[in-house]
Amino acid sequence: MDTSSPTQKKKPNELTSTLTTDYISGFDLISIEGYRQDGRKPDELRHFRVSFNVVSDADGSCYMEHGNCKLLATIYGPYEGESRSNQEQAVITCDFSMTSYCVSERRLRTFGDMKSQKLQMAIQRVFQQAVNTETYPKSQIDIHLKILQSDGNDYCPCVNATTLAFINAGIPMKDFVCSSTVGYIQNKCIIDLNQQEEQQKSPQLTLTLMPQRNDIVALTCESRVHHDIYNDMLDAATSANLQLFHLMKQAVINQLKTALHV
Amino acid sequence: MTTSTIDPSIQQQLVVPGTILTHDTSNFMRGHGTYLDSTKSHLKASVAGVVNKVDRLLCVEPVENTRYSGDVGHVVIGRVLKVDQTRWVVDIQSRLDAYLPLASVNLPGGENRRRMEDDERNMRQYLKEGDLFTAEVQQIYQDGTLALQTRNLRYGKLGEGILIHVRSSLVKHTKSHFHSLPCGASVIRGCNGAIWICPPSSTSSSDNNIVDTGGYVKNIESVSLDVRKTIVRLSNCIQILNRLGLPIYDTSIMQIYDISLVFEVDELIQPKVIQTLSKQLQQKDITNGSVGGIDGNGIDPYSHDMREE
Repeated sequence: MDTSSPTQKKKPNELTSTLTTDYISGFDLISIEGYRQDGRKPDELRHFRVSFNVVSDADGSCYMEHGNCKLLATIYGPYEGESRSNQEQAVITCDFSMTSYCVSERRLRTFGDMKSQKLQMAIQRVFQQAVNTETYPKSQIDIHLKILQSDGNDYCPCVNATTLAFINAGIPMKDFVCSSTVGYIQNKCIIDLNQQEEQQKSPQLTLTLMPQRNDIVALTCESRVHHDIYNDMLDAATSANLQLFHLMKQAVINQLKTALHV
Repeated sequence: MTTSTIDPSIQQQLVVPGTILTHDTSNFMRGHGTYLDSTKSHLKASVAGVVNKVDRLLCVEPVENTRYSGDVGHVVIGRVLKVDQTRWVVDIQSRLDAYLPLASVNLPGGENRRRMEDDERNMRQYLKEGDLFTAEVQQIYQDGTLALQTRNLRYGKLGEGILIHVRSSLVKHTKSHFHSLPCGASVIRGCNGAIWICPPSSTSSSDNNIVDTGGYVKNIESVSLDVRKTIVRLSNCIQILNRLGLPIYDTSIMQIYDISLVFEVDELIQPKVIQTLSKQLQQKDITNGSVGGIDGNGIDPYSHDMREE
């Protein structure tokens, strides 16, 4: 994926069209040729690779590489959890942790901080909607997520990997759940931001989608965006999610085929 | 699939969650692995797997990794989790715990014995937490909980042996699940994917003795090295079958056991040896006429399933 023409530095007089905030950092994120720092086009995803059944004890598991992000998602359940009276749906719990070596600076605390608690809550809510929980009364399903190498946003790869792990576990879901980020840099929507692009002070949007139903599950935008740009970003995010969905679907189909030996 | 009736090619087709199976919701029934979307205009798949249409019933059968969902009459092997007032709570790798009521076990002293408060107090003497036993599924409740019974003297507590877990889809319900194999070991195939391998039951122990104790007393006696080796070999063989996704019957176990005799027991976990065995099994055609499903890695567990039904 990282093969493309080398990015060239623009001469200062060619920078007239870019926003002032973009060249504070001293380099351009999109070259004149239209390539990003890692050689991708604005509407190109990072490389995506999945393998299933990596944890033999678990009911479903998936190891995913998305760009430089590497993570492991495992599903345990449905099993009979602590007894809750007249519980008619399965309860989904999520446990998110990072390895101490997953970011450039060694982390001492790898779980339980504010950020991971928020992420746990978010994933729990997303999948409480997406999984057909009413088929499993009195049960509990545990999601365990471990980031082995981080590349910016952890939420999106976590959602995607969890979806695949759920499918691997054979737990009924309404649809895939895909999640992707979009940024607006140098008057362009760029999809699937990596860490470097995410650190820019530019508008960013995270969209979580059920692609086949076209239902928005979650949408976050933590900066002020003009509504003209906003619609463009939303469209770009939707198309990014659709691209991602096709990759995920292909991965699942391939796994089915190997399991069936066809 | 845009036509109102179902595309005949959908049978055996691979689908993923959210795939539309049919628009014609009035003419098809919702089976396992499918759901009606909120507008009730489509029937969609909810798991990844193979479409199976039986008359008007549409199902999607997941290919692997599903928890055991019981059926009445299945022989299962479970472990006691908890002793309740009048029942044992049992783990059988299902999505909910199973129950073994005191009323559906054989108590020492014959079949027509009344159950009294004393028996409730003595439940731990028969089966305590952590004990393994075989049982039969007697009933399935509305929420999917299973009730077990051990009324037959075949069922009961397990003594010495090895327990291994395989995919529950590989163990099919057959006439017999208790096999005493010609190689000198007994195997109990639990439909929940638990398989118990034990030394052959000594025929000398009188049946009267079992009736007296109800099968809850297990003598721990030393097992000879040869028998132990046979048991470990069988366990390795069954694990290979599981890895290759081959159905587990007494015949298939014996076939792979016979082939494996050229190797030492401890060699059977090496990937190279497993590959060799898999190739030899392919030549032997273990499933008697499984077509197309067999290749370098093994046999399609699903197609086998289909043919049986």
